[in-house]
Amino acid sequence: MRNSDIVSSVLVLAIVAIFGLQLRSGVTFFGLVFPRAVLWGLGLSAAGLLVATLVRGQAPKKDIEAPQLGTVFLVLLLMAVWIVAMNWLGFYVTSVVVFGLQMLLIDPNARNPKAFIRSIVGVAVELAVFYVAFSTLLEVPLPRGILF
Amino acid sequence: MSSALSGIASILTPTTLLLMLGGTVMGLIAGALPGISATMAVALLVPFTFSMPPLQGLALLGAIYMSAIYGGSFSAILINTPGTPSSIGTTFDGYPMAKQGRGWEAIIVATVGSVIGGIFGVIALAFLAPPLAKVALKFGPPEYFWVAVFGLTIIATLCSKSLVKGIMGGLLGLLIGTVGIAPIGGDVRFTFGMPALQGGVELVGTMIGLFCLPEVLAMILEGSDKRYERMDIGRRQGILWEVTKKVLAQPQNLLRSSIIGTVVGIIPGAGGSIANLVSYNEAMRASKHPEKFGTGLIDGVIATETANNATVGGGLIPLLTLGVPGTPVDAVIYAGLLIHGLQPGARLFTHFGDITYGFIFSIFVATVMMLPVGLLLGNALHKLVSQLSVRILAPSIMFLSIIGSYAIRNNIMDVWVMLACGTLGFLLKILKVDPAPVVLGLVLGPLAEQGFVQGLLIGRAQGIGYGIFFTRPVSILLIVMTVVSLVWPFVSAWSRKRREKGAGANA
Amino acid sequence: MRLRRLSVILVLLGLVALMVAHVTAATFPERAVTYLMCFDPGGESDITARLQQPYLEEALGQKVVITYKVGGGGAVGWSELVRSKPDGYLFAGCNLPHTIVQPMQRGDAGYTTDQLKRIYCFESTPCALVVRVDSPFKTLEDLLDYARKNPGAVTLGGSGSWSANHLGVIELERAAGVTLTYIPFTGSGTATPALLGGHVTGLMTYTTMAAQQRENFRILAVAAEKRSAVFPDVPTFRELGYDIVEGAYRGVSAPPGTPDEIVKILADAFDKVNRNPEFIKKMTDLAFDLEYMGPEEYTRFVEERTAYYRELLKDMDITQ
Repeated sequence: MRNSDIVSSVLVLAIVAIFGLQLRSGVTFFGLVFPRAVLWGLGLSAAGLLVATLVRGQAPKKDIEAPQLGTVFLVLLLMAVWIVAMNWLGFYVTSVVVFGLQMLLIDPNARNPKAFIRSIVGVAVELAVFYVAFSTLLEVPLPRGILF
Repeated sequence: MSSALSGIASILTPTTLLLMLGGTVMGLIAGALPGISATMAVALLVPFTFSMPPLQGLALLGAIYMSAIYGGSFSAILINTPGTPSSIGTTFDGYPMAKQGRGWEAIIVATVGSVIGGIFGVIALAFLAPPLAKVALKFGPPEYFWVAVFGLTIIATLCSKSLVKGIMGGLLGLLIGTVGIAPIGGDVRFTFGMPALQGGVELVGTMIGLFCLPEVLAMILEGSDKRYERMDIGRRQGILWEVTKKVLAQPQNLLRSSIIGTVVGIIPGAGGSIANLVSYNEAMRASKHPEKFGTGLIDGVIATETANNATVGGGLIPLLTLGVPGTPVDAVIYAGLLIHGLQPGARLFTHFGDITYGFIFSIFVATVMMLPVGLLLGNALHKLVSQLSVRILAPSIMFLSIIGSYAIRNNIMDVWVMLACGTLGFLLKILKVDPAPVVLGLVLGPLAEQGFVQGLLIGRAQGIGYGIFFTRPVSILLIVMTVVSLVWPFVSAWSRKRREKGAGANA
Repeated sequence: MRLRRLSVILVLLGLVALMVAHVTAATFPERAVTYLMCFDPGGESDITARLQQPYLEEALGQKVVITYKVGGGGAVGWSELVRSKPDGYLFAGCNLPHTIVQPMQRGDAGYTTDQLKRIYCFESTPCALVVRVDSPFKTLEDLLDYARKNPGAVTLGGSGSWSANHLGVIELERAAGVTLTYIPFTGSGTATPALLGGHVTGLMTYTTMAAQQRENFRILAVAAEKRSAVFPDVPTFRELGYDIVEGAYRGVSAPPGTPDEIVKILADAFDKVNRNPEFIKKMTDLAFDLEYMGPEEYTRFVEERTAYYRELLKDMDITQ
């Protein structure tokens, strides 16, 4: 199923179902009015779009291009790892490590050792500057870990 | 009069001017960093002003405020991420311009627009504060509801090609905005068992996720280091004056955007985030070639940046005259005033006249300072971003996204939300759904809900229930504006087709 | 023989442990402490904290860093607090009645009232019932008369749901036997323009806000035990025959399990700040009332109020 309208309307209907179930209990009238109206709107427009696309007669256009999903997935996964590891290894250390991994993933040129070391040193300096800026100047309490 | 003059004289001392210069630079950087909003930047510096004489402290805060709102345009143009919510609309045309190699041009446009809008707002503040403040008070809950609905009709203009998807996006944004504690009644909604979600979904994290991450991913997938084409076109000699002339050749756009910004700033609680979107919408409607918006038209950047800087002066109007903050940043400035012993109200203009007029003048000076400082910084930033290799730039942006979304509320949940929105944003890109309506829904949702439920409560108390939304003069005006805004794209497209058919028949 | 040696060792160990605890407590704080704000910058909690900051740093001998964790009416910050390390380096501004009523009314607020280890309560802002200066209601009775004849028609704006403002309105309904309509706003800053513009009949707000708007507002009554120093002409609800004492009480709390000695050090520091004449002047100028409740008194106060609110909400049939 590679038509964007169909996929998006199905996903939206799924969201409506999930959120709608949450509203079943524990919400009084004033908290309910607005979300319920929004969910109805979403449900109707998604259903309408779905029906209109299917009923159109011609075959739905296959207009979803999903390039290199593998790379995308890895990049996002690395970011998730970054967030989790922050609480253990501390902000700075995790950032340098994950940054390095990202570099390797993104650019084949970086995989030769000399280039990599040069880049990593630059990265370590850049991250240190940002870290100092945020934690001392802006007083944002960044997660502490093994080094800092 | 004499107090005003003495206030102005105090501003024109070397220490104060130097302080304001520093404030302008800091504000620019803070605004350009997604995750540091203008509110945060000002809040961080309030304690530093305690040891300073009140006027100096206020001048510093004012300088930061004005330049932070302007600074948001840098990241909006260069990496498609609004540095502050006031620059959401700048991404619509600013980023395409950057991709076409006209990034420097976009920065110039943003700078000139911001300075002009800022000055307009300050002039309104200096000379029209009392009557304008009264206008602000006419807005009660039903009016806020209609303002929000009017804002949402922008979706119709932005997404005229795929209206249903735009509506779905907007509704999705509204839904995400309801996560957390209901504004009326305090019910806990959609937290899925996670207490950290009681605080709701934070706007800036969502923006970073929806706008920035998909572009970073695209950058990575494209792989090449040529992210902005044909840089040589964009940087020739004399381009500064050339572009400035182009901006000044749009007086109606500049004037209209400044007025919109000032008025939205005056409305308590509404600030740059709403002003820039409304202004963009109006610019599109007034233009002879609305379909070119979104492809890199300077009109769009002028509209958003002029309006958002005009909200600075506008927002201070109700704050100084009535003690009612016009924008969220004004609430922080209010605290700063109180701590220095200055109470808003009539006394501020009489008893403390020198401080007040000095403050207003200082904002004017700060706005003018933005011109050279902004151009220098923007130039440097543009060169930096366009020349860094992808393998450094992409992770750097990701790093900034994480640190930025954490910095807003010191809440790790916001970072997860940012990542989730990034995934969502990528998905939306594939599914050809525009992310802008989602952010619109998120910005306007709380305003709409509060206005609706509060209005309903008042209406019931008055015995007319839902009728309250249709029986008040300002509401009716807003309803008319909403309907026009909604219907206009279809009417104009229809009339254009008729004209073409007519021309074709005569040929 | 072995038993005696064992018990001597145990006693020595115990003494060493006591000494270590005393030493670590006595040298607390050894580095900067964090004062967590659970409400937006610019609000009353923030203003209080900013005013306290320099004197607090003096009293503790260390830097005091103010950070924010805003959301859910304070719940996000408090739920973070109760999960933090109980070493005294993090404490948070806490408000009553929020920290009592939120866990009561919400399914899962992320914390419970008794998880917060109370350190000190330093100020309160009583509720004040205000109308516009040009309003036809000149006294509380005028307003209540109108309310009796038109149930539900009187709209009173206030800050938040299940906040002191909201509870103040509920208590007035109960004491006077009238039906009022409470309109929650996100803060005092958004409720004020609503009254200035005439969109609501009046506000149940705090004395601090009433003081800032004294040119435009008329205060009908104050929900305190005695008259406010800033408004000596305004009667209290009690004087007018309605026993209502309500307001926001601001203090600080620590995570559960924080050692008592550390709590005492912090409490003493806050107490010292509260007795500093410069600080007192700045606070009273802004119409804050100062309180001086130490850990035990504060905890007892919380227990009393908890029982009171439980009974109030049951009485008015508003449990969830």
